[in-house]
Amino acid sequence: MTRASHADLTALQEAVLAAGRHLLETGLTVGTYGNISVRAGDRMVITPTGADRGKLTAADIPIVDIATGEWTGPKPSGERALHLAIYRTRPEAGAVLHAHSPNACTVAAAQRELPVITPDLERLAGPSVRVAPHAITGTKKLERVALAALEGRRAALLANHGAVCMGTNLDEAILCLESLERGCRAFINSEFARTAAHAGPVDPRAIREAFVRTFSKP
Amino acid sequence: MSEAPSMITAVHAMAERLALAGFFTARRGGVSARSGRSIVIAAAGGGEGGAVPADATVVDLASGAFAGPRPAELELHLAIYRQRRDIGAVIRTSAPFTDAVASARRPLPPVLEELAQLAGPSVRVVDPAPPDAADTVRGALAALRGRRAALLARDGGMCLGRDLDEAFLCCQVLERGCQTFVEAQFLGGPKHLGLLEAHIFHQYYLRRYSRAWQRGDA
Repeated sequence: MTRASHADLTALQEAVLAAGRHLLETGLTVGTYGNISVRAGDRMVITPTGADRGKLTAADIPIVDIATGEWTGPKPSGERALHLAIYRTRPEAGAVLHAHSPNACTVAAAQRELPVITPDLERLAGPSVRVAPHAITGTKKLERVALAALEGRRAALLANHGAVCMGTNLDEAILCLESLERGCRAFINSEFARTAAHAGPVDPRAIREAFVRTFSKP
Repeated sequence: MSEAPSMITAVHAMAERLALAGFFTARRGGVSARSGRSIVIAAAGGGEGGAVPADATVVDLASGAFAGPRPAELELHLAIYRQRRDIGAVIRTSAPFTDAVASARRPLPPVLEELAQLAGPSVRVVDPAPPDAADTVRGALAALRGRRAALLARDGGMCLGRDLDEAFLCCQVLERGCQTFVEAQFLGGPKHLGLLEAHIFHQYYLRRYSRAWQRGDA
């Protein structure tokens, strides 16, 4: 591992800020919920705790040592332990996102494993997206269950909480989250369609007769 | 009553923000904030373009005196500020999923952590009565005990916060919680947090996670 230069770190801090704004603008997060990190050699840059994304500057983005967890700058996100655990155990992880995007939240609250529903989801996240059992933020248990759910995957749902996505870089992690969110929407809709199937097929002749009855009147 | 020009601006700006974000309909919705010994209140207007907020009115908290036309649901807002000294802002919200759960008169269980944090261990439903009727006010205060949100049967929701931004975040989280509750039914139903666990999340949020609100820099 290498030390990232000062200029590199500033660029990554800017990238984290831009990603934060993107998630807010696209409705993938609201208010202060959700956090974003990028690996910078043996450190990570991560969004700070409890701050409003719209009002931050690059200087407000803390830098955390991945091995020790010590940081410089404002206090990093309360979910930093989860980000650190991923960087320590997944060498391919270059960026990690945690978000409370609406459709992912729904599937996470139903605690249903998301099957491969679109090809892009399979490419970005893996053969399915598992749900990690509920655990409180910042606890060892959350790290353990999240890492287990992420095994062989690049995305996981956290029960009653949200989603965690990773990528080799920030763009890939964002694509992964967007694709997970679309996949969750498709899963909800397909389950609704499947359970509504007992309503029976529509008879096209009946529709035509009704149409003729309605519109043939003078 | 010229003591709060900046709060009048803030309440008016929040009314516009709520209308833009889809939390007001043409004639439903209201927002108020505490300003010393007064409150400032604005209701959704009935303009042609949909939800155009009307001007804000300053009301004396102790006497209920105000100048101009009577603001909608004034008694409800006043009662909340008189009883809840921790509350600095109240929003009456009307949004698709909030309205759906309120219409179904289903109390909202803690399906998401963020809902438990912002709103409390559950969101109760107030039985219908004419707006501003003493029964509704009494029922709303009872439903809000230990909570920051309540649903009014067939009439949307009510979200409280220490300030306008926190009440707005509560509206967003309530709508998201209601969406999760409704759509998780297609996936076999939500598996919600335990009530005790949800209570702990709420208390933790009030005491620790939200210190940024008190510092005024969130």
